[in-house]
Amino acid sequence: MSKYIMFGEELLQWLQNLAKESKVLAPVKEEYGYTFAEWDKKSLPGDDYRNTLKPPKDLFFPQHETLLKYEKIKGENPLVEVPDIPEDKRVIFGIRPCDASSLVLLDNIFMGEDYVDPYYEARRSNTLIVSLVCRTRGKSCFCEDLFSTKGSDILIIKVDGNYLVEILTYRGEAAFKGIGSKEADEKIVKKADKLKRTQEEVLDKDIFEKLRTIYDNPIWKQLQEKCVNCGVCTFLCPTCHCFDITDDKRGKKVRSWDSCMFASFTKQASGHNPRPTGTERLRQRIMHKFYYFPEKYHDIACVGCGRCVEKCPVNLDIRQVIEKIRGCLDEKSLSAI
Amino acid sequence: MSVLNDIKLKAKELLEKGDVDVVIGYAKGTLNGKCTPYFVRNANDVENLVWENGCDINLANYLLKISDKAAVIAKGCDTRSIVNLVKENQLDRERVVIIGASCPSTESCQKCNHPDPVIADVFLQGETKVNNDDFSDLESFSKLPSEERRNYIYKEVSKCIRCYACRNVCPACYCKECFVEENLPAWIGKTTNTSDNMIFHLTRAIHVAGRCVGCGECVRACPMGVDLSILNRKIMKDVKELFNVESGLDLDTKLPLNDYKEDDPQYFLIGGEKCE
Ligand code: SF4
Ligand code: SF4
Ligand code: SF4
Ligand code: SF4
Ligand code: SF4
Repeated sequence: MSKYIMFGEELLQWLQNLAKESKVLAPVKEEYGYTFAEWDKKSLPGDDYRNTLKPPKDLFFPQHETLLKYEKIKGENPLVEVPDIPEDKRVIFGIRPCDASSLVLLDNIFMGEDYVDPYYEARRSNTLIVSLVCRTRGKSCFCEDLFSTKGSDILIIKVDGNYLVEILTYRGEAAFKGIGSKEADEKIVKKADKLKRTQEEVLDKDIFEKLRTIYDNPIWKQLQEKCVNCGVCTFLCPTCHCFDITDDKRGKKVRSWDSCMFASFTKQASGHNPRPTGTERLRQRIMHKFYYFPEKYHDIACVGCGRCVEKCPVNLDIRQVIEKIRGCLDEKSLSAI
Repeated sequence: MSVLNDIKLKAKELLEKGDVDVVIGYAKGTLNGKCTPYFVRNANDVENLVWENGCDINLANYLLKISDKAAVIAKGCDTRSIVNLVKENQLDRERVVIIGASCPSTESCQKCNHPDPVIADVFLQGETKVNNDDFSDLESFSKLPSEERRNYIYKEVSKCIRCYACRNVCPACYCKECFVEENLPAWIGKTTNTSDNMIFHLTRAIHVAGRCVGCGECVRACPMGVDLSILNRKIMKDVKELFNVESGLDLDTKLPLNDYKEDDPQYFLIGGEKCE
């Protein structure tokens, strides 16, 4: 598809035009970090913008959402009220490519073969994803490809102070129709290609084969020792998607984020807990991301955004977990000792 | 000899003699300025221990998780939390060797009056700045118009994503089943609306009343920058004024709110005597 080159001014104008028919969400600086909020229609994210504090899953699969309301009426059938399917058109501008690709992973869950979540699906189909490539990786980032196009309708790369705009989908193309921008010349495209080729190598996240053999390995106990089983790493992870559904007293069914790291997550009504300690919980988190998810959907459920690295209160660094797992002995070698 | 060196020697000795199975301390973390909890089981690994600015996570918490004989490298606040855990019958004092050392922190905790351990089996003294916390922050806060005070609390509470990191790192929050997880019936909704968040934070603040040692771990742990230490500090000040007790300073004084005396001040109760 096409590639265009735009000055900052042109980019602003294009976004301002989009903002006339859609709600444009962009990274907005708040007291403690960036968050996706309604764009001020004036500025592009500053140089200090690394990524948003919360992942964008929130915009499709909100932390809590009312699925239905019901009311008992004496002698009659209960009154059930289903919330409207969201219809507003949105543009997410300035999302990072790692996060854009996380949406494709989430699609497997909420728009999969067995089940389609109408709220998630509506938000996905109403939203145009315009991602902005990072200039360099942050200190906790380990995405495989800085320029990943997965999940984006449009990918924007800053080259020599201007913006190279790569149109990736028909939806992206439609949003770009009638814009008088210059097609990018070969020189710029080549320059961008060079940037793409010269990325630093990062940690290889593929530990699938190793995980197959270490389910009962003592390494899990060591790895989890300092973990306090909070929800930071999962709530802030763009790919984590576990939820709970509860009834509130006023007849609302609410779906809210849950976390495999919580002790209560697998607790059964009898009081029995099949994942009784932190060992089973950390193993679940890692196995889900790097074994079960790839086994089912052929992709790792970690995009390397680094949020869990940055915010874990005890600095349990998933990059170290991956390395230690890669280096540990598998069950066969262990039993041979 | 530096404190760190002495820590390493002591840790090594304890492990080699078999007095303990594990020494809990800190190692260098993977992020700038942050150290990470470290469990030494092999005497050679004591070399990875550090004792420097950034060793701030309250380690008392881990003693509850571990069943082996353990030594812990503890600064002022960790020892105060240990004292409270012993007093609340959560921890057997005999099971823990406390390698006490003066707090190495140079930045955080400006309001800490007790950087040195309050109990220890060995005490390694370093240089510390002893502060004088006079609760002046509370004084200025209480002078603000109520609207402003309310707005501040609302603003902090509304940032919360209910990840419970603050609760899980807190040595005073060790309940096997916290009220937020009770669901028959549920005490609190699972949303992150301000009202649900408020119930969580106010209830937690009351639950740790007289037990919070002001270690600041709940604030440091929060990924969203929620700072409600003003609530904890207000209660801390009240406990000090009403019962003349600072939490966790010695093993003998009873925790004020875990104990009942007939002449307890109770004008904060509904229908209680009037405050002068
Ligand atoms: S596991 Fe961590 S680094 Fe990977 S996507 Fe989730 S938050 Fe980002
Ligand atoms: S954020 Fe850290 S401490 Fe919390 S559950 Fe995840 S790994 Fe454990
Ligand atoms: S908030 Fe209250 S119920 Fe929950 S762990 Fe803390 S003290 Fe226990
Ligand atoms: S409430 Fe906060 S400051 Fe008080 S003991 Fe718990 S973690 Fe420390
Ligand atoms: S750590 Fe912060 S975000 Fe998490 S529950 Fe506590 S106050 Fe809320």
